[in-house]
Amino acid sequence: MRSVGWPSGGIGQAASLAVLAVFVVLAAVPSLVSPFDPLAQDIPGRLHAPSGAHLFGTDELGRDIFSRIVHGARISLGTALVAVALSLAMGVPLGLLSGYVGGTPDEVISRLTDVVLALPAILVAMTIIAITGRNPVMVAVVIGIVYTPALIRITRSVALRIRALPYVAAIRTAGASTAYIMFRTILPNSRNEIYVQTLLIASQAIVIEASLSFLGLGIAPPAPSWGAMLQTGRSYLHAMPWYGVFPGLCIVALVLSLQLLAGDVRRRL
Amino acid sequence: MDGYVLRRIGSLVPVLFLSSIIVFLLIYMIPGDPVLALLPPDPRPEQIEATRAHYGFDRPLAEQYLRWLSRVATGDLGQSISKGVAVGRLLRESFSVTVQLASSAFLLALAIALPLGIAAGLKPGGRLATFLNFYATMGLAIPAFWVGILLILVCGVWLQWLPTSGFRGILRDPVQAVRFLILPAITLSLPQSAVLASFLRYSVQAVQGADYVTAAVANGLPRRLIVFKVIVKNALIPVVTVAALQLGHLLGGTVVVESVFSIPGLGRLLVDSIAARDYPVIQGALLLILSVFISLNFATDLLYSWLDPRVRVH
Amino acid sequence: MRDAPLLAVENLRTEFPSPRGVATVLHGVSLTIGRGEAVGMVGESGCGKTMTARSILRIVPPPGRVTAGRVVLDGRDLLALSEGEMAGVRGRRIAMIFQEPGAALNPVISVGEQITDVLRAHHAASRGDARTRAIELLREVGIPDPAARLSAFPHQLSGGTQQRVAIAIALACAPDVLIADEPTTALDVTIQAQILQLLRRLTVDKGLGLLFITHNIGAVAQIADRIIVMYAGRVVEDGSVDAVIDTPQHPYTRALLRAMPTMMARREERLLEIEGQVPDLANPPLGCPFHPRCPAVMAHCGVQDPPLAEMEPGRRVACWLYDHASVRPT
Repeated sequence: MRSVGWPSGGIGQAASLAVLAVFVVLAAVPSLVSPFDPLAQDIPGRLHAPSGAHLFGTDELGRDIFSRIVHGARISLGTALVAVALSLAMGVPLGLLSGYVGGTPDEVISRLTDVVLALPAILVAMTIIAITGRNPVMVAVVIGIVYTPALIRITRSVALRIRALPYVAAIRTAGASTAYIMFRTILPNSRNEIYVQTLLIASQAIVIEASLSFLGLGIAPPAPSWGAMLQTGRSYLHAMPWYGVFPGLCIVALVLSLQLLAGDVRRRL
Repeated sequence: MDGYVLRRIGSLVPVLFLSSIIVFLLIYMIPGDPVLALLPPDPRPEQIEATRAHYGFDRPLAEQYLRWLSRVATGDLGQSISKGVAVGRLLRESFSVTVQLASSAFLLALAIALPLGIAAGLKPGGRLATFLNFYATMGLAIPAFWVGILLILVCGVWLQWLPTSGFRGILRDPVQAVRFLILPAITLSLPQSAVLASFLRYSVQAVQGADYVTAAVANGLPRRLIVFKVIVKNALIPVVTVAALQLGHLLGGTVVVESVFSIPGLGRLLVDSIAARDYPVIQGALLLILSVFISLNFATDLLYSWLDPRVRVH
Repeated sequence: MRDAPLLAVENLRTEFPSPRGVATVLHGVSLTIGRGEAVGMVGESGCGKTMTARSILRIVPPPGRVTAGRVVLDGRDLLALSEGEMAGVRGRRIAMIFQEPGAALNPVISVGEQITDVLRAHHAASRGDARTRAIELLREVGIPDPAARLSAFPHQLSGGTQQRVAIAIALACAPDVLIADEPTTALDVTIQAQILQLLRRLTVDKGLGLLFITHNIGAVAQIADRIIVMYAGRVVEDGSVDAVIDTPQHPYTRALLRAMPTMMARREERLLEIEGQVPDLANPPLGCPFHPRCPAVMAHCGVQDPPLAEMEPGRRVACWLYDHASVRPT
């Protein structure tokens, strides 16, 4: 995964952090911000354009789109959080093992990660869902599995680099165990690279969750997933064009800020 | 060069076999009796027994795999549970649609990325280079399905220039086919063109500093020759690998784009079959997608060796 | 009476803007090259040897530029030409070969095609004629079985053969001047001698002017007629090879020769390091650039930069040790 820098420097970073902060707040305490219950229907008032009462308009069941978007932040960020946590928990130890210990485990793990990384993430996710069945809880888990190889690879390359340092040979002869070297020596030194990857994975996780929900394979209505909202919005483009615009705008804002932050940290590495 | 090709084919075959094994094992990975995966919901006991006998579920796994493989080789991929027609036929029809969409998107991506990347690379500080930075960031951040929706909104709903969904085969009706393909192809090509242009730009910049470029200038070769025969020809080589990776992402992108534009392609088929738990179709579609993917990577290797004479010598 | 020189460089000045100020990499370099004459240019890294070659051909990498001086070839000042006209001179009237031949050849095109490209860029030759000429050229530079070699790619050839190909490309359009920038430094010792002999033979046979840049004085002694010694972007001494090596006048030249372990006449002298470092070209010391390291430094050396003056016919030195009141500065 690459991230490109525009805009770069102070403005980009400040704006990204601000946007991220806003969405985190929305995800944490949506009820404080949203004027309406995201599930409250109002059939006579359906598909109204944005107005004073309804900032982003109403959807096909009369629900306030703005409120639904606010509550949707929790779904997107929550999914990303779980996915990142899972891929960290699985990917980092495997990467450390693969990079530091080497040998056959490294061969096997590297081959597998190469294969999985070559495949488009959404196809891998869909294949897993084909096996496990559609399950909103599983979405975050599936995405976490999909991005584990990315973390394995980056952790492995850092481990390889640090393993070659004379310092590591020194403490090994002093009797340090493999686990100690892996977790107390290599891991702290890979913090930056891992941090960059988690930001990128989080941004991709948001897109994949939205794509899966859009396809009907992820979080289903009435839950206010942005992707699911876009799917419905697609059908109502003639009647209510804004339905298809706002959820997407939020996805872009969140993804962009995560990627810019990642690019910024990477540049300063 | 023949030795190289043969060796690449040699590594291609086992990979294909491996992926077929994974696809085959798919129905064994789902919880429950694998036989039920091949039958409509609530089957009668006689149906279950008949299916079990027909597919040989009581036989050892290896034998089942070989029987499955030989069926696949003859084109028998089973029956779709939800649609009741042969899986093979579904795959054929939808695959041709996806091929049209994917190839137009890829060509479009190349048409955008090549001039943009080369021009931006030749003039690193110029306006095109700055624009490319912007384009690349946006291309990676904006999800494909939103771009599609926006395009539908602007070109289909407001301006009413183009149809917003559906598909026409290119052989039956070329003009209409183009009208239906433009928006989906643009949607699909945007992220690919962004990545390709970016890589090409960096590759061109790297090559520009090479000694052989200075030597070419010192020999008095005309500027156009230097740009194309010396710089671009060398800069394209690493980009070919990236383009191959992009083809994979293109395949993934068709899944979403076909849903946005209601195009009856392979991606759409896969989505629908997963939603309907139609395992014969899921298996068939995955097998086809994986085979195409692997073959594309293989073709890229060959192309790479053709472009870079240094790779051929081994 | 000397023949009119083939190439005359006069007061060439090249500058590079840098964060610490403008670095003057060439500080008024003047030299001449005659027909059939091999001129060796020596000096430490960073003294401006390569930059002189690039300035002559006007291929100084940006942001550097040639800011003053004249480069006269055949009565024309090359620095005054348009870029298009200059492209017609490069490869056709003046050609250059580089230090690492493997890096200087296009990796994705056959060597034959690289030769014919240059031929057809400067002459309207047919493919067939160009191909024939290419075979001839490969034979001239001593490559066996030249017709078979045409379709080879650079990476398939050894370093010595690569450099021969580069020489063939350089000679394709029968230029008047050949600049060779450290042509043997990257090659094996045994091959070095062969390439040097090849260059010498071509210079004599074709009446070329050869500017041979190197940090290896031994090589210069082998094939050059004249030698130019450079330091900090200036010519500090030049003259015939025998005279300069036998009786070096500039203290830097003397130090260079003492530091070379392979000089025949100086074998009994100890190897001496030259103390100190080359000056910062963005902030050079006042006066003679060598004076901080010079064993014969005098008070005046730190005040004024000595001009390059002709001591005897064909012999110039830039040093206050020599009495300038009675000589005409060139």
